[in-house]
Amino acid sequence: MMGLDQIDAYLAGVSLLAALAGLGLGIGVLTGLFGVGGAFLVNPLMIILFGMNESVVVGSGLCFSVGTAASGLSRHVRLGNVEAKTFLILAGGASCGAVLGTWLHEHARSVQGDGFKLTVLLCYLVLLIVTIGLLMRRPAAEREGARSVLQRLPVPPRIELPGAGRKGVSLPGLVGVGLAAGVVTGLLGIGGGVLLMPLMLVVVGLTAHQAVGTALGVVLFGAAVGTAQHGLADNVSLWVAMALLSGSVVGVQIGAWVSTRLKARRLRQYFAVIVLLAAVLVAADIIKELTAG
Amino acid sequence: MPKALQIALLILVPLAWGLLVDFVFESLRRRRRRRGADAGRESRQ
Repeated sequence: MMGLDQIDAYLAGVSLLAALAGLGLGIGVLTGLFGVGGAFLVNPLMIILFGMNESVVVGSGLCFSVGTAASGLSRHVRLGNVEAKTFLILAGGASCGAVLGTWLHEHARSVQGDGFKLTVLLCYLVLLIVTIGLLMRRPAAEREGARSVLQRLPVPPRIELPGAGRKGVSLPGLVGVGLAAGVVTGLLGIGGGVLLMPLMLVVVGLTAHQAVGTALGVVLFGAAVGTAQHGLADNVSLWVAMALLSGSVVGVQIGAWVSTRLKARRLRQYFAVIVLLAAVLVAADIIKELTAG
Repeated sequence: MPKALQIALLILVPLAWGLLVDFVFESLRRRRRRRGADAGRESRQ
């Protein structure tokens, strides 16, 4: 026979999983729409709303990103939104960056102890603000004849990205973008899409739809390596990841379908509003933490 | 393996990977172009 305490604990567990599944559905729609893994929104929300341990959130968030990225990627491959060469080069950088990021995460946690939660939230806030800044800039693809940042970067060797119609793109710069996205992946459990999509629009010079599809492919690789690394450090809860995934697999197909019916410019504006909302939420929690401490 | 070497490898390996991807893609493109040119010559003859 179960006692009242056991029933309460059981229901709390079930209701947490149900809440996570609901969160996953909403995030899944955003994933399909904007090509981001959704973890940039899920992770701070899990820390803020459910009071979950930040390392478990990072590890489980990555495991969740693997599922959402795989689901969204299959759809975008069929739609022809993946720039193959950019994807392969960035995926190599992101995989190695994810290993570096996980090392950084473990090191910072052991050094900072209880203060690590605030550091993680601050990192989320900085990342969200950087993303908003990148989204405010007009993408190179929209400016007639404009060269992207990587085309102007004076670091050889240079390569051609035929799918994006870009010549003279700096290869070390492109690898650096992948590495940076991977480090963020391993450190914060964010698939990297939130940063990758604007980076690919502004820095690499892909079109909005190519940026969405290619970002999902890179996120899949970085998140898979990050999940394996965090799994070795016991930071991954399959229950949390599966609850989020059960809702998001439905949402991501809806989002990808809607994205084909929206103009590229609108897609970026909606994305900026969602990132801004997430930033406000994280900032409010940081202020609460600081005033409580 | 010392940590510094591991970090250097984690930066150099993706760079080498990038060069390899570029080499493979360019080879495929050159081959496709050559095949296209051959096909054009044959149709003219």
